[in-house]
Amino acid sequence: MAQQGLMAVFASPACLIWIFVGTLTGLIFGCIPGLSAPIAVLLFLPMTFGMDTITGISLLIALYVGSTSGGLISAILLKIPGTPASIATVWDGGPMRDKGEAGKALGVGILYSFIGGMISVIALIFISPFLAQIAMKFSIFEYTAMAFMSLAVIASVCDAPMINALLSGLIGLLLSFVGMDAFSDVTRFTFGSRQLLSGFSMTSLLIGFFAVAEILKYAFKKPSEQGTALSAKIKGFGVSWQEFKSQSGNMIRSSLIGIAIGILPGIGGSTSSILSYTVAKNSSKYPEKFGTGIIDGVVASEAANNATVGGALIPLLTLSIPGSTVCAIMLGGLQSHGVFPGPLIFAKNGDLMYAIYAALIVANIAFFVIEYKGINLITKALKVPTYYMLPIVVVMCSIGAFSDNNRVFDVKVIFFFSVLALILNLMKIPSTPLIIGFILGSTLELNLRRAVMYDLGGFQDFFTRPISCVMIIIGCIMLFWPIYKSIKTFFSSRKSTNAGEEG
Amino acid sequence: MKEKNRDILSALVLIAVSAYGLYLTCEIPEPFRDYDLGAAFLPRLVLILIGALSVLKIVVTLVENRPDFLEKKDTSQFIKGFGTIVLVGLYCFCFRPAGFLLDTVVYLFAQILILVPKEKRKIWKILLIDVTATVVIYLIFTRGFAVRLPQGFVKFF
Repeated sequence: MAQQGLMAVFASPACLIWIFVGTLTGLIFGCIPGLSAPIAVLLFLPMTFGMDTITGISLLIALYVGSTSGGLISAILLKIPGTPASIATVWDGGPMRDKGEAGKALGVGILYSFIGGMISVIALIFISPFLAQIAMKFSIFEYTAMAFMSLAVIASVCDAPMINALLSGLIGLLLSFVGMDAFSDVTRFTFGSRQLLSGFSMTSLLIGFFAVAEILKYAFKKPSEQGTALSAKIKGFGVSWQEFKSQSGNMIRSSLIGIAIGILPGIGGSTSSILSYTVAKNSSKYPEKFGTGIIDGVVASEAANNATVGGALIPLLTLSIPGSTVCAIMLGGLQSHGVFPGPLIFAKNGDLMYAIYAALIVANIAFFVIEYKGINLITKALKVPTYYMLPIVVVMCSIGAFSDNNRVFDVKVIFFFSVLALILNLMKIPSTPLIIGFILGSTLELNLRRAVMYDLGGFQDFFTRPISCVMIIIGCIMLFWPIYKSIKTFFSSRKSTNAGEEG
Repeated sequence: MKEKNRDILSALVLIAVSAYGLYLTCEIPEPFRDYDLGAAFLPRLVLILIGALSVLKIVVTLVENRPDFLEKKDTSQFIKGFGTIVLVGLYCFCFRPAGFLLDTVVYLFAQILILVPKEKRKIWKILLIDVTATVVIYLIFTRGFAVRLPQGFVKFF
């Protein structure tokens, strides 16, 4: 099984070529601000429908790895993050460029992205079988509790006010209820449409929210001049042996943060890179130098954001819970190929798991080589104006939505979701909790109703089963702790205001 | 629009959505299985939570002592923005009747024309990119990936 899976990638020239193409395309998408990893993966998703499963999934993984890594190029050369995962790279990569050290910054970013990515592959290889074993013990109670905990976690750590994040998750749940009820032939919120009997297609929702919505948001923004990207020559790996030794602690810590954040559902590389940067700064002997152009900041950011890739695949493959937005898209890709991730994935699709490990290793090596050797070629892509790129992206995404089920209805649905995404953006309601709510909605409802019927109308088994009880407690803490803290802050600020007035 | 007004307005919209959704759930029949929560239980719970959180949002917005910013919007972009919404909508709804090729050629031309800054508008360049991109995308997906796209009323090939 392992040999079969590994050989399906390593010994297949077609698969290797697609991984190379995917990594290069991902790098280009990642380095262009306005295009991102979800768009890259969404564009190629329909192309994978005609490929065999391993090649198709390997291509999506290569796109994910490439686009995550590509963000550092514009972050350093333009001081604009190519993807949200490279926000923290700007903070020190940009000043390094200003000091004439662009080549060094790029070299450091590429090297530590590679190391972070490879560490996360090792984590994926060792943690996922262990997690799958634990998940085998899950029953309907644990799945319900896990869906609740995932929604609570994403609502509490999302980069938005908690009320807005909760509203987003609830709207996602509501959208998942559209269609025919799983237990009966009752239809909900279909407004008499036959097309909605099976509910909304996840591919259409993702395309509408992340790809088509981009052009709508871009159209409302004032056009800014696209900066001229400076080319840079990278000498060696950008670090001396002494610098490499001094950064080893930072590298390992940042990679572990990236893996841990990746495992948490719905949170992506942006959170891990910012968190890792903050931790590196706080634990540094010279925190005042962060932000002035030192390699520590670039190491922390890039090691973490690439480590998130492997980490995010862990819950996706073993629990069917996407660890990031791109993983949510990949879930759709896997399901289109008849692969249903979960605890039985090693038993039913073991060769695919090993093929994914192999694809990750090859993609990491590919981006490492391509970025070092082809940096000047890739930076040419930064010169293509967004007003030419985005309309073409809309066209390709429409084909993607259409080819999912061969229905024109899905093309209309992407327009509906793109407008919804725009409206939610105006309301400052984030999109990621909505996506996770949509994905987990059916899991939550199905298992909750089965669990209550099993318990003869009660809920006691949720609390008598230890794993389920722990997950519910964690979910409640994640939900209520921020609320408690804000109430406490509110009253203490009122108290100090009143004390100030009396004084 | 001021930030606080925007928050209150968005909360009111969500309350309205919640109320309408609850009305729609009245049409969902009661469960026929013993101990089944029913098809309406979770939708109702979610809608009630949306309504409650929206009310809470209004309360927090009114009570919170944060500085209220007047968001400055560049109205010159509104025409571009709404024009884009209309174009994308027309593109999606004309996908079948017009067919992929005709629909895409017209959409790409109109969309790029709207987005390109006035000083950089060159009709010949836009047409060239438009037609080339449409044909290349069509050939890649139909010949390369065997995706059957709508032909519409004008059959090209």
